[in-house]
Amino acid sequence: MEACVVFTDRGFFKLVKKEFEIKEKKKKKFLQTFRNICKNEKLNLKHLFVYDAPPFQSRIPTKLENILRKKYDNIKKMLDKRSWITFREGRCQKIFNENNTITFNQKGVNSLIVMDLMTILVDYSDIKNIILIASDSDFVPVEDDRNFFKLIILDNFEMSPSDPSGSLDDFLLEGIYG
Amino acid sequence: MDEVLIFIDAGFLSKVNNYFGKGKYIQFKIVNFVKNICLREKVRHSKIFFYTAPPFQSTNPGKIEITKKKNYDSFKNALVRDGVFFREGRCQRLKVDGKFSYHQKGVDTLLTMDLVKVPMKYSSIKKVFLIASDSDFVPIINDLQNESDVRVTLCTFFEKKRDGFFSTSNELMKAVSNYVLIREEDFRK
Repeated sequence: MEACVVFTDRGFFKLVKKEFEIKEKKKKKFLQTFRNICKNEKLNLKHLFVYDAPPFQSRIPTKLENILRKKYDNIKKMLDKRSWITFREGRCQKIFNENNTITFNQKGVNSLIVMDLMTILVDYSDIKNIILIASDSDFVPVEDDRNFFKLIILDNFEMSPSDPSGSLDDFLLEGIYG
Repeated sequence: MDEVLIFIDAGFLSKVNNYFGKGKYIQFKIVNFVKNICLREKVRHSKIFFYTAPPFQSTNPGKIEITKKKNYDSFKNALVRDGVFFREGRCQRLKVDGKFSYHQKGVDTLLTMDLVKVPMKYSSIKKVFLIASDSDFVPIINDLQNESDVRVTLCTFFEKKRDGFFSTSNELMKAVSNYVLIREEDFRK
């Protein structure tokens, strides 16, 4: 079996995983899912890159912020222990909207993925297969430039055009398959 | 004089231009704008990279869409004639709760990709000017400055007053080696 490297945006992956868990009424194991994805593609998982952003923390964190941070740190610790996993962090931005609502955005996560996709051949010159688990057509230019992607389509995942965070972007698919 | 590469996030520059023009766009030439900033900073621009997205086009474009595209194309042609590297993402239209919203896609990606390539493709260049305000660029700026001897200067604009229309992320300000504020006269000279 040929080796492959997997890149995943944990924010998107969490949504997909949850969707499958609800549909199948069964908990999915985080790391086993990546092995299964590679196995289905007849590839051997050599390295996994996970991208995430720590939850927002106020100067004096609230109880909820403390709990979220603790949960996040546990996952980070679990992933950091494994030499075959690289965990990369962006940051979480808190925005106060005009209508007095608050939104949280991940910052720098996509940039980290793009940077690593652009330099992956320096560290893994023998790699021919790269699996990117993402839904965002922001990544199309990298595919055009590098031309070595193998994309996994999550075909049981329901498209929801009104929720951009949960839909697989047509342009991403077009970028991969031409 | 040091030679620098100029990277322009067109969406941000257009917002600054509109602000100085008090709601109207100031007519200006990108090359002259760059020359003004370089003169002030005592550097010489080697190449200009301009990042934007063409206007949204439906399958059967309407009159407005056709006009917008035509204007965009002549703007693009003029810049290319001036030797600017014109890099295009795409415009995404989303319909949420019956309302259309438009988003640039792939533009930041193209800019990040080109910044990654700077030490390899332009080994003699030690200084980059980035015209932007988005903290999405923090990881690539950190990487460039930690892994190579390229230094990034941020050309930006922000208001010091609280709740100002413009803000530049503290993270971004901390990441760059120094910053330059864009001035109204940079558009007008």
